[in-house]
Amino acid sequence: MKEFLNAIGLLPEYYKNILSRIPESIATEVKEIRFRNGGVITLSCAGGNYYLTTSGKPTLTCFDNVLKTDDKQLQEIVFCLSRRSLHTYQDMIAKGYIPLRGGCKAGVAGRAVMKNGSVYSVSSFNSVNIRVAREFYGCSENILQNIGDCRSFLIIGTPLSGKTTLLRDLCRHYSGKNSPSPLKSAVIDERDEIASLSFGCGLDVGEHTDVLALYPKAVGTEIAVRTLSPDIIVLDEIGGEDEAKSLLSAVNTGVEVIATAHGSCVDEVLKRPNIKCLVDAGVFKKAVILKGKSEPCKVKGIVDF
Amino acid sequence: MKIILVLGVAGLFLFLGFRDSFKQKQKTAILNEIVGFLRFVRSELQYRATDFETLGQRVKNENLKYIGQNDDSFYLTQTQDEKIIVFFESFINHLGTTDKDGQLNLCDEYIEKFSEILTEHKKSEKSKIQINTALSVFGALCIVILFI
Repeated sequence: MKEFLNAIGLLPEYYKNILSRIPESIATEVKEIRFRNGGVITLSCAGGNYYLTTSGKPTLTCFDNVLKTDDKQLQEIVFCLSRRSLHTYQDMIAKGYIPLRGGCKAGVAGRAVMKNGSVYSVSSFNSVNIRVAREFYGCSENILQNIGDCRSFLIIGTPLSGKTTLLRDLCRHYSGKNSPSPLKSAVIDERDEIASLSFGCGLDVGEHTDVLALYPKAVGTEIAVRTLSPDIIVLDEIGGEDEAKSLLSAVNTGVEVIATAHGSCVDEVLKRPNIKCLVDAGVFKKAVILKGKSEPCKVKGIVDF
Repeated sequence: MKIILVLGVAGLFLFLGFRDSFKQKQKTAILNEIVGFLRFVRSELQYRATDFETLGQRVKNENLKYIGQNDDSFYLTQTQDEKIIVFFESFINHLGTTDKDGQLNLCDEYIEKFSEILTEHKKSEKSKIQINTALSVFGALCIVILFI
C-alpha cells in the first residue's frame, strides 16, 4: 500500500483523494495507473484492468459512466507530478518520464518540440502512465540458487517482468549488511528507478552500494570504474553503443557486470549488435530469462552464453 | 483647550503629510525588493533549474520584508497597489509552467516590467515627497497662526 501511495502522492488533490480510497486489496495489486487525454482512467493489475466510476469506486467494466481525463486535467497532472516545475524536469520529460517517489516513474507522452534534431521538450501532454514500483525482498533467490559463482550475467525480460526489482534485490544480496563478505556495487541509475535517491528517501540497494543517480549509463560506468573501484557494476536496460563501449573497457579492469535488457528470449536480444558484441567479448557469461508480466520476478531459465 | 485642539489639528496635518511621504518610500522599497526577487529566481532557474519547493526554501533564507510565502505560493505583504499585485500574481502563476527557456524569458519580461514601474515611480517620488512635506508643514502652520 505504501508503494501505491508513493505513486499517487504527487497527483492533484482530486485524483489523490479518489485513488487513496480504493480498496487495499486492489491498490496492492496495481502495476500501472494510466491517464489519457479524453480517455478513461485505467488501473492495470495482474487480474485485469480496473476503471473508476464517477463516485470513485473501481470496476472491471468500462461503461460510459467511468471517470475520464480531459486536456486541462492532464496538463494539471503533469504539472503536479513535476512538483510544479516543468523546467526542472525538462530533460527527463524530453526522454519521456518524470521520476516520482519510492522508485515509481511516470511515463509521459505528448507533442514533441524538436531542436537540432532531438527532442528538446514537450509542449502538450496526451498520456501519463504511472508505474508503481514495489520492493520484493528475496525475489532473486531463484537466480542466486542456480547461477553459481557467476556475477556477470544479463537478465532478459519483457516489460513489467520484474527486471528492475530483481536488480535491486541482487544489489542487496551482494552488497547488503547481511552479506557474509559484501562486495562493492556501483549502480548506474540513469532513470532513478533502481535506487530512487535523487528525490526524497531512497530504496534499499545495500549498504556497500554506490549509486550514480541520473548519470547516463556510459558516463556513469566510466566514472564508477575510475573513482569508486566497484566489484560489480549494475545497470538497467542496456542497448546503446556508448554503453557497450564503456562496459567493454570496464570489464578489462576486472569489474563484473549485472544488467538487464528488454526481450523475451536470448535470440531476440542477440539480434541487437551492441548486446551481441558484449556477449561475444565475454562481458556476460550467462543469461537469465524471466517468465514475464504474468509472473513478475520469476525465472523461466538460465543459459550459458 | 483651544490650543490643544489647534495643536492636534496641526499635528494631524503633519502626520498626513509625512505618512504620504513614507508610503512613497515604501513603494520604492517594495519595487526594489520585487526586482531583486525576480533576479534571484532567474538566477536559480538558469544555473540550478531549481524546483518550486526548493526555490521556496531558498527564498526563505533571503528574509524578504515585503514578499511572503506559504506552501503553495508567494504573495506581496504590504502593498495595496493593484497594478503591482496583479503583475506579481501573474508572474507567480506562470512560474514552473514551461521549459527552462520559457521560464527565463518569463523572468526577463517581468524584470523589465517592474523595472519600468520602479523608474517611473522614482521620477515622481521626489517631487511628491517634497510637495507633501511642504503642504503638510504649511497647513499646520496656517492652522496654528489662524487660531492662536
